Amino acid sequence: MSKPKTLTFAFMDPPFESARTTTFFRLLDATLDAGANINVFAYEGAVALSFVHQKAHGNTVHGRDVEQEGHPLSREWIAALQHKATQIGATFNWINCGLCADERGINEVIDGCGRGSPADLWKFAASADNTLVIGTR
Amino acid sequence: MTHYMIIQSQDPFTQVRALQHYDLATSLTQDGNTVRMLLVQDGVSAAHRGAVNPAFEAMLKGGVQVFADAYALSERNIDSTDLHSGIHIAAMDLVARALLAGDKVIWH
Repeated sequence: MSKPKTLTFAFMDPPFESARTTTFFRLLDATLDAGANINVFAYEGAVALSFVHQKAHGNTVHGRDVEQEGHPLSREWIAALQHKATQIGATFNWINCGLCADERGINEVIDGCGRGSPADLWKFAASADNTLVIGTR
Repeated sequence: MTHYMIIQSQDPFTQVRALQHYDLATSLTQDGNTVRMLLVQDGVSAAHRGAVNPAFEAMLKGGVQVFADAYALSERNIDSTDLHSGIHIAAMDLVARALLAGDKVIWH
């Protein structure tokens, strides 16, 4: 059996603002479906993707409560991908840029997401089979 | 020969740089590379057969393999029969497989 491959992704978009975030998470999901390991370096606004205090809300305009609205939270998407990786025996590493987190005061993140620096992106990329940097615009 | 996968999220009607992305794909093909482009998000609007864009059409005729993301098409109620000839429907596994195969992948 061949050794699973590893892909590294760098992402900078914040949650709740762009369709790019959804597309990115779909790509991560497809990567796990392919049986590959994943490294993510989240920088700039993307450090908020794993913020532990993200809160779902209802939609009073449409008369829906929190449960009916089913507002998606990126921290839950990350947790779901972590769970999926565990289920299939893949690794799922997520590092937030510490400087970017400090700038934004976002240091409380969900379990399994760490803090680092661009040196971690270099290490991720150096050890991966391929790397995709997703810039904003 | 290098294999390229370009993820095109921008449309040519609101983002003028999309034209440069189409030209880049066409040029890379003319230089003997294999180029695939996956249209995602607003990028799929150019795939509609009613959309007129010379740079996009030149890319289609120039040997670039163009795919449209099924999810983005569905969000916009664009059916497979609404697409320009030669565009294939795909999903994000196309990108994952390209990365795993060692293709050069570019996100626009």
